[in-house]
Amino acid sequence: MATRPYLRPRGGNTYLCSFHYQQHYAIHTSSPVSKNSISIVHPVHHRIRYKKNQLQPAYKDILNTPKWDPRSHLFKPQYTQQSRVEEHYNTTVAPDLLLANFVHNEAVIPGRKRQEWDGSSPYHINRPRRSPAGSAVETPDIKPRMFNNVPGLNAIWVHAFVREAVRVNQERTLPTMVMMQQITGKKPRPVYSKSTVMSWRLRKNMMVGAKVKIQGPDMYQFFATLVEIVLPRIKDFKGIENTSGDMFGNISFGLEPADVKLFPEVEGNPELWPNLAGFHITLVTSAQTDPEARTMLSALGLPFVGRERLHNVPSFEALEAIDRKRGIVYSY
Amino acid sequence: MVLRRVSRPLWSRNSRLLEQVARPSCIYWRSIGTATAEEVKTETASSLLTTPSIAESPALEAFKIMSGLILCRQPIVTPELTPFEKAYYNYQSELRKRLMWTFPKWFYYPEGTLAERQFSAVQPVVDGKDRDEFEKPDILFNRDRRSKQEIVFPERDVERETEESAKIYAKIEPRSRTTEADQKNDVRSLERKLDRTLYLLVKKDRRANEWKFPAAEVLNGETLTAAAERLLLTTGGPNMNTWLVSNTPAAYHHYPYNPEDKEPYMGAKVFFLKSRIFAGTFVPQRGSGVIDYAWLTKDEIPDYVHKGYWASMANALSKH
Repeated sequence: MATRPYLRPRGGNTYLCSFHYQQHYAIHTSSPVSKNSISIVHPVHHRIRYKKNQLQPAYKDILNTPKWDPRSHLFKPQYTQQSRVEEHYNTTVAPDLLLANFVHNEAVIPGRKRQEWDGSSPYHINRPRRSPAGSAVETPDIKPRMFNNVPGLNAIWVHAFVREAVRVNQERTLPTMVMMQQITGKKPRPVYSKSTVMSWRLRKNMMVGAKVKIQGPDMYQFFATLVEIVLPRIKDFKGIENTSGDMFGNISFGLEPADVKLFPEVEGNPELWPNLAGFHITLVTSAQTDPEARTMLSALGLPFVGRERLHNVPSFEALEAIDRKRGIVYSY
Repeated sequence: MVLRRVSRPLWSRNSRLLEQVARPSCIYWRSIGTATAEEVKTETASSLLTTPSIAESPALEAFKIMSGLILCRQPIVTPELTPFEKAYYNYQSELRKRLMWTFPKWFYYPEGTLAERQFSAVQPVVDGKDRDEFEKPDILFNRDRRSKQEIVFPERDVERETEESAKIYAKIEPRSRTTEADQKNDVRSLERKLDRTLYLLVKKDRRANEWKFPAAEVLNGETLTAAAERLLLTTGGPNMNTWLVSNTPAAYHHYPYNPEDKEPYMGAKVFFLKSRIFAGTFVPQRGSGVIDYAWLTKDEIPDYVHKGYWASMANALSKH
């Protein structure tokens, strides 16, 4: 029996016959006139590419070991000691926030969504939705505060842009990367430039910075160091500005190179760090709005200054109106 | 803001307690505008859970609204670890040491310096002699990669020490996690059980249900919050640094009064507000009716209060 042409291995290619089909196939049913008809195999699922040499028996155990198994090469022990900040959050901060954030008669505050076409024209059918009114992108709905959406600290991004890497030498990012690894406990990834600007001597794909995302116990440890050791020793530091925030619960601020020197890992060996860059810190929280995020972070010890900016908070009059409809009347 | 009247029951439908009866003549039931008053009347009629006894005795008044206080002292130290947690953390930290990158000696102690020589002199010898017969030695940068790396720091040169460096290297002696109050089991002390949250319970001169969270009636024209503040001053005195967590009540408890007591109310409804104490002491004030008090953890409270009360309060209290 002739081998099926679609299953013959193709030479000079690491992929075994790029597309592997499922076993299920149908025989072409046609009129008996065409005796030498071909079999048509209908692919059932999407085509997948894989490198067959990576499925050899020697790698079987390595690939099948999950990340959390200590025998895996990717295993990293996370919880090596009690996390003081996390325990404080779970025992004290979260229950208080559940009470403090509660809003009586709260309803969903819809975000800006893509607009559907009204159907006045037959060409509206299957037309893509328009961009949201009053915003370039869709914004999320603000849901009522419940026990399952108490704001918490999810991740911290530390990102540094090293100006000397553009002006002098791309290798100038390396000391900053080592410093970030020391203070966060995780190896950062380099950041490459995305565009070319001749006046700044910037080319595309130059290594100009580094970033690292920390979560879990490492994140709480970094947060504690920041709040208890570094920030209090910064000159004229009163707190993070209340204007900081991306409207949906993520707070950012930056540290100057002089402030970075206050980290214990850097301060202990000042001669090792002659040229350091500052960096931005972004606190990614699960809060839905900025005021909530600030409340939660200040409960963990991070101070804020400036005029309080409230947004996406239902007005008192609107909530009173809901109760009035039910016959509850407030008098002051 | 004062909650004047509620048209539908606050508690579950299984409760047999009666709803408040509207009394248009009383100031509590004054509504703004006639339209709303009519709405109110129809709502009340449809949603009342009336029983024959209420219809027979319309002279009985509404429930007494009370503001209660859950005053708590947060944990001062981290929670005590269970034996399993200790074993787990020990195991994970040993794994981390085993998998850790080799100490970059050349980065911290540059080659050729005196510090590097002193450091290298005190490091344990790494020769891999304890390996199997035909096993290849796996030593890189003076580290046997089959096990965790042992680092020994050279002793400080005490002669050349300055005041500043002495401060840095001074050994930190942590204080004990258990205090005198723990040994004596002094329940009135705020320094007992530093790893747990302590809640204030007061004892009133009653024949039953003596121990309770403090509570006081909400007077005419007062808010729940104001009543709680007044309660704090009248029962505990002014020497407390407290902070009210939220205007939202954390717990709710209702109970009927005994008809024999001839109280002017059917019963009481208590809305508990959560507050935290940061400094000071609770001193029972004269005239408050408090004869004793205790700062208790969540585990100890069920021994002091009765089951129905505990059922209302338990979920408002933090486990730790």
